[in-house]
Amino acid sequence: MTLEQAITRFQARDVRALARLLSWVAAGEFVAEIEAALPQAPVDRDPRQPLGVVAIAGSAGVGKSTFIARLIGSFRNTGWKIAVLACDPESALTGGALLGDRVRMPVSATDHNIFIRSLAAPEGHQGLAPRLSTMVRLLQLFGFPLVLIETAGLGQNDVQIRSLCDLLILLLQPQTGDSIQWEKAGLLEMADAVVVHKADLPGASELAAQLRDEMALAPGHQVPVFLVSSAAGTGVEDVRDWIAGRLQSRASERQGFDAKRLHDSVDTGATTELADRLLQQAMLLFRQRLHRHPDIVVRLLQDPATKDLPPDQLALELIQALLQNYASSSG
Amino acid sequence: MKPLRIVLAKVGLDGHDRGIKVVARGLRDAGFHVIYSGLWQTPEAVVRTVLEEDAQWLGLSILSGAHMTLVPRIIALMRQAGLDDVGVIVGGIIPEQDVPRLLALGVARVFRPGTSIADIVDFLRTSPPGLRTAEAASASSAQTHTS
Repeated sequence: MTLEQAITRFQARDVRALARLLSWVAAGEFVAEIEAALPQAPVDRDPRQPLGVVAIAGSAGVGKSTFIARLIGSFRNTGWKIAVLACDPESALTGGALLGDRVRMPVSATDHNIFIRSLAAPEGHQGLAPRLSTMVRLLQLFGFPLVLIETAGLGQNDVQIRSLCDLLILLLQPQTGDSIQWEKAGLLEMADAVVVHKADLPGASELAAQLRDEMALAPGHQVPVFLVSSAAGTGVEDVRDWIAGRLQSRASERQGFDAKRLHDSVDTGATTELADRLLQQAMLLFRQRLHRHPDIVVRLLQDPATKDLPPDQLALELIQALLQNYASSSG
Repeated sequence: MKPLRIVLAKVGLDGHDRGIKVVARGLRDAGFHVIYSGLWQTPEAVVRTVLEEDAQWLGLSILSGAHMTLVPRIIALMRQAGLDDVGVIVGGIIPEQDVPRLLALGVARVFRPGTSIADIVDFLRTSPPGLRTAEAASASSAQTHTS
């Protein structure tokens, strides 16, 4: 299959072509060509199924694949089309990988509203396959509004996933570690929801209570804690309804968003979720840039023209310098 | 070099997965991307997995004696889905007289008990993927019998 053939067949909704394009993107081949060939807006959008990318994170063995299998079933029951990108680790030594997430995701062989793809996550990519955002775009254009990303068993400190998804769900299980584990910074503060998985095990409701306590202390948005047992099949619908609700409200918020509302929300501190996310993302970008180019700050503090400026003005200078740096390089 | 992707599957009522797990691990250590489908797969589910995963190879492990029922079904479904360019290898308890019949169906190679991981790795690295034609099958059958 040539690139042109694949793109033509992709547009005709040929699964083989979708699979091949995903392979190329995963391997870093023809990425620019594929991205250029994709239309800007998704076609045939069902307003009841807004676009959404949901990441499922948690350490190895917590039951991410099994939980996703349950979610797939639950979303299919309400008519959603759903795709899964399941990441498993790739060996740094041999480049080999054993991708076993499908074992836990038995789906009907004839239901074409589900698509599952296994991906290898190289070392140093925080449990994620590279170029995931292009893959998500391909799946959405193909007709899967909802894309679930399963991370390759991550725990503390792996936060890159945050910028790739609309909602981040963290899976925890009872009988692993005491409450101090949750006090540590990392994924917990990034999560939009926490699922206490294997809720049929003893200690699950205690863990949920601890987490709710912990969340109540944290400033900012409310993070729901769900109790789910994939073994008993309980609690899955609650998570599904929460995901669907959040994606719906986000879609309508984005539609009715205008400059005045953004202005008001920043002004009053009563921020909307979208404004929150925008500011967070901008902060994150600035922080990354600063981290990579500490010399920019050093220069501002040494330059006689700027070094004695008050902090507010110095910050403006810094933003300008960072933006110039951003514009002049992509790295 | 891009790693080869291979789907390994157990089809039908066959719970013996020690062999396929050893092969899965051996291929992983040899740098392959191995997609393991698990036990009790239907032919339809296996073909769907190969399609979605865009694999170059499909490895079937069958120890139940049902290979002459399951393999033809899978290969027919693969041809129907346009997956002629995916190679199929079969492993497990396969009687010697069935080997040429499987090869005639389009299977690239049958690995019987006693096969080493290195044999499988060498074969996959040196053979072009794709369902075999009848001529290729008889040549490969002759080779199997002399080796």
